[in-house]
Parts: sequence; C-alpha cells; structure tokens
Amino acid sequence: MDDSLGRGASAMAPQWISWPSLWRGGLLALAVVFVLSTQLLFQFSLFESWPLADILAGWLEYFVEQLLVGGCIFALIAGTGFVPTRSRVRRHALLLLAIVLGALAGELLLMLRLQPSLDASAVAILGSRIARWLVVAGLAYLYFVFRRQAAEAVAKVHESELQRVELDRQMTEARLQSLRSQIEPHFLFNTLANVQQLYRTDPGRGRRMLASFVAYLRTALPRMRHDETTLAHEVDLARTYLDVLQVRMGERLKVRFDIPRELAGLAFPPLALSTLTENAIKHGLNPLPEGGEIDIQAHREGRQLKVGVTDTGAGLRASGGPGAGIANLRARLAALYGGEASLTLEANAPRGIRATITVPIRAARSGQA
Amino acid sequence: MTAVATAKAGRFWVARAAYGLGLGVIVAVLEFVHYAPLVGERGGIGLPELALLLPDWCGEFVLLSLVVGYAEARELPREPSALKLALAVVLGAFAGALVWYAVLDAVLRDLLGLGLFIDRVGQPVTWAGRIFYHAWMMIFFGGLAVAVQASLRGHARMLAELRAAELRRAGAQQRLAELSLGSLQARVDPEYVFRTLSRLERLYEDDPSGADRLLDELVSFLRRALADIQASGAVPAQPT
Repeated sequence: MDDSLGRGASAMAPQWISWPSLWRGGLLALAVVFVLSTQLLFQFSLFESWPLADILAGWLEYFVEQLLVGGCIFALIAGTGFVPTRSRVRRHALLLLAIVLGALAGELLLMLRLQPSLDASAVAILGSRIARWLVVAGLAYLYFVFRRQAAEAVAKVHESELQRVELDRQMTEARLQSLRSQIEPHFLFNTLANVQQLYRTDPGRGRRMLASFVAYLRTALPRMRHDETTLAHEVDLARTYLDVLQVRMGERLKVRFDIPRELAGLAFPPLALSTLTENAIKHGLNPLPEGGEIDIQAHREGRQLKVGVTDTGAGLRASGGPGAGIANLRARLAALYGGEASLTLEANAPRGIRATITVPIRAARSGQA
Repeated sequence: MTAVATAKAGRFWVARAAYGLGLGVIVAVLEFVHYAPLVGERGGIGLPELALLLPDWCGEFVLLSLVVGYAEARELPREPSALKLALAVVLGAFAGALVWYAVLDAVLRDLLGLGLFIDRVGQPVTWAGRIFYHAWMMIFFGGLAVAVQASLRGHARMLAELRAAELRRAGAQQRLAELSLGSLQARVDPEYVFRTLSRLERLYEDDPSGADRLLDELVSFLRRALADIQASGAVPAQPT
C-alpha cells in the first residue's frame, strides 16, 4: 500500500492523490497530447496541397481538440483517486472505466459539434478513437505510476540510509563506551577478593586497601563517560590505583612519578594511563617474585605530549606480546584522535617494558572535571 | 563469450523482438479499427486485410525494438540516458519504416502479388507519405512503450536498492542491539559499586561481621557477573 504521500492532500482525499502528483500528471498529459497532435505534421500529402499557414492553423485546432479529450481523460483518472478502494483489481477496473468514459465524453463533444446526430459509422469511428486513447492513456499512466513509485522508493532509500548512518554513529559511540567500561570488572573483582581476604588476616591493611580503592573509584567515576580528561587527573587515578596495589604487594612495588607541573592541565584520553599501569603490574611486576619499579613520566615534544610508563618487569617476551588491554587502548586512541595519537611498546634496559602514549597537545576543555 | 553470457544475450534480443512484435500487433489492430468504418462504404475490409496489416506493423516495430535494444545493450549494465533513448527511437523509427517498406514492396507486392494493406484500402499514398506516417506512429507508440519500459526498469532497480538499504539498516540495528546487550552485561554499574563500597567502609567501623557478609555477597555477585561476561564474549578474558 502507498503511504506517507499525503503532502498537500486534504483530509477527504485518499493518501495516494496529492497536489504534486496531480501537477506532474497534468504536465505529462499535456506533453503526450502535444506529441500526439504532431501526427498532423507528419501527413506528407498535406504539404503538397495546402499552404503552410493553413497547415499550422489546422495543427493548432487539432492540438486543442486533442487537448480537450486528453483533459477529460486526465480529469477522470485524477477523479478515481478520490474513490477509496484497497483492491488492485477494482483500482485497475476504475482506471479503465475512467479512460473509456473520458475519451467517450471528449470525442463525443468533438463529433456533436460537427454533426448533431450519430449514425452507425460515426459510432464505429468513436469506438476506434476510444481504443486508441485506451492504449495511449494506459501507457502514459503506467509510465507515471512507475516513475512515482520509483521516486517514493528513492526517498525511502534516502531515509533508510540516514537511519543506518545514525545507527553506525551510535554503534561507534556504544563501542567506545563499552571499551571504556571494559577495563574495570576484573580489577574490581580482584581487589575486592583481596580486601575480603585481608580483612580476615590483617584488618588494618584491609581497611587501607578499601579506603584507597574507594578513593580510586571516586577519582575514576566522574570521568568514565567523558572522551577527554586532564593529565593531572589521569595521574591521580594511576596513583590511587597503585596505592591500592601497594597495600597488596608491599615492598615488591616501587613507584616513581615525574610529571612536570606545566603539563598537568593538558587534555588526555581517559583511563589510558590506568590501562598501561595495570598492564605494567599484571604482565610486568606481578610474575616476578622480587617485584620491581614503575616509573611514570611525561614530557613535551614539539606539539606532542608523550606519557611513558616504564616497568622493570618480566618484559615483552615473557608476556607473550600485547594483550587485549593494549588492543583496546589502541582502538580507543584511534577512535578519539584518528592518526594523530599513537601507542608504542619497546623493551626497557636492562629489562621490562617502556610503553609510551603520544597525543597532540591540547588544553582540556573548560567545564571538564 | 561464455555459454551463459551467450544464452543471456540471446534472451535479451528475443525479449526485445517479442516486445516489438506485441506492440506491432496492438498498433495493427488500432489501425484496423481506424480504417474499418472509413472504408465501410467501399465494400469494407475483413480478416485478409488484418492479416496483411499484421506483418506490416510487426516487422517495423521489431526493427525499432532491436535498434533501441542496441542502444540499451551498449550501456549495460547502466541505463542509457533519456536523450540517447529518444535518439534511438527516432532513428529506429525512420530506418525501420524505410527498410521494412523496401522488404514489403519486394515480397508482398512483387514476389507474392498480394499488395500492401494500403493498396487494398484504396487510398493513394506516396512512399514518402507512408514512411513519414509510419515513422510517426512508431515514434509515438514506440516512444511511449520505451518510456514505460525504462520507468519499469528504474522502478525495479529502486525497489531492489530499497530492499538492500533496508537490509543494511536492519543489519546495523541488529549489530547495535547485540553490542548494547554485550556492553550492558559488561558494565558493572560503577555508581552501585561505589555506593556499596562506601557503605562497606562505614560498616567495617560499626559492624564488622555485617560488613563481612556484605563483602561476601558483593564478591560472589561479581564472580557471577564476570562468568556471564566471559561466557558472552563481551570482554576478552584477561590473566588475573
């Protein structure tokens, strides 16, 4: 069923008749009638026996006559649009009736102008003309309907594509969101399991760990949903995270920060530093019984901010290559900065990994925590 | 050319010829009912004349249809422009009328001695007059038919495109739904965790055994949630 074509149609009119389509249909009818009238000019013999002016005058008259009949047919076809029916067969029967009646009315008018009464041969001529109009108007109507439906399909394709683009955008957003929220469930679980255990063996450390963890969440929470935060907050986040772990690892974990004060206010992707820090612990220091050191430093290089996390842990080979966290972080950097940001992993001397995030220098937007 | 391509091309040309043939029959019948009352007084025309009219128009329309088919085949798989189609119709109409008149003149008049329809009707028409009349009929009816056919093809193409676009949209919608389902499972609501932990911190001061129970519940909830997440594949498993 046709739908959503009700532009300009009154409440009484069925959905599929509208002013634009009436206008276009009228133009088409005019064009068909005009071409039809040129038949007169193709009558070769006329030019042999009549002056050009007479032929042109005759052509004009013929055109007006055809226009009258064509107009009658067009009016009746347009009129069928006001008859409500959902059946296809009935719609086509109505159309046929409209063409026959329109042609009959028009040709009858033309004929009665010349001769007031009709004989048998006049009726036969009438019949042949109606047959001709049936073919002409039928073809023109088919052309019109196919064109209109194709135009409607074009509009629907356009709408559908717009919706798809919007869905794709939402998907990119949702993917970013889920990348962001993917980071914490394991960390959360491990920490709580630790807190639980500690409270049973060493309540003091357990309490400290819980407090550090709540502090970490307090720092992390307001920024979970933003695309950018400041380096200072990211460093705070990493610091509270390492505080939590220091309770667990004790002397096995040594931490050093070297963040120049003037870089603290620069924009930085959220949870990027945390991911690197988590990785340094998980794959670097945790496997080693003697633990090691984590060194977080930032510096500026031209128009780029470089933030490095260096650990003296097990190293690239032992960890078996970068894990899911690194892949997620790379995807996030690509989503946020395109090709402008990068993440490099290299071996640290004498051992361990140095991970460096490079992002373009940008002041954090105002209004951000 | 492969056998499949040959068969496809064969079907294309046969369809074009059949289309021209059908149109020729329609125009021949129109012509017949047009002349029938006019020549009524001269003894009338009947089935033999209709039989003469059929090859007359059918041959011409088949030729026209083949010329238009050539214009279409040249542009495949794209559609020829309206201008090219119109040009093909006009050229095909005049060429068809000329060629077919020569053929009918040689076969029906000279070889078989049957004469043309127009000879039977008894209207003296010069060959140029006939060519122009037939060319006009072919341009008008052939042009209309070509326009209908082109609009039908455009219609079918747009419907196919619409189906494809709807499929793409539905696919995007489904992927989005799957993704949000996955991320819904992956998300352990941080606000909830934060509130619970703050409560836990206070509770450890006042009621350590109650706090212990709460922590137990929380840890087992997280264990179940993590198992769900890993089962759904929303979060890659990480070494702990």
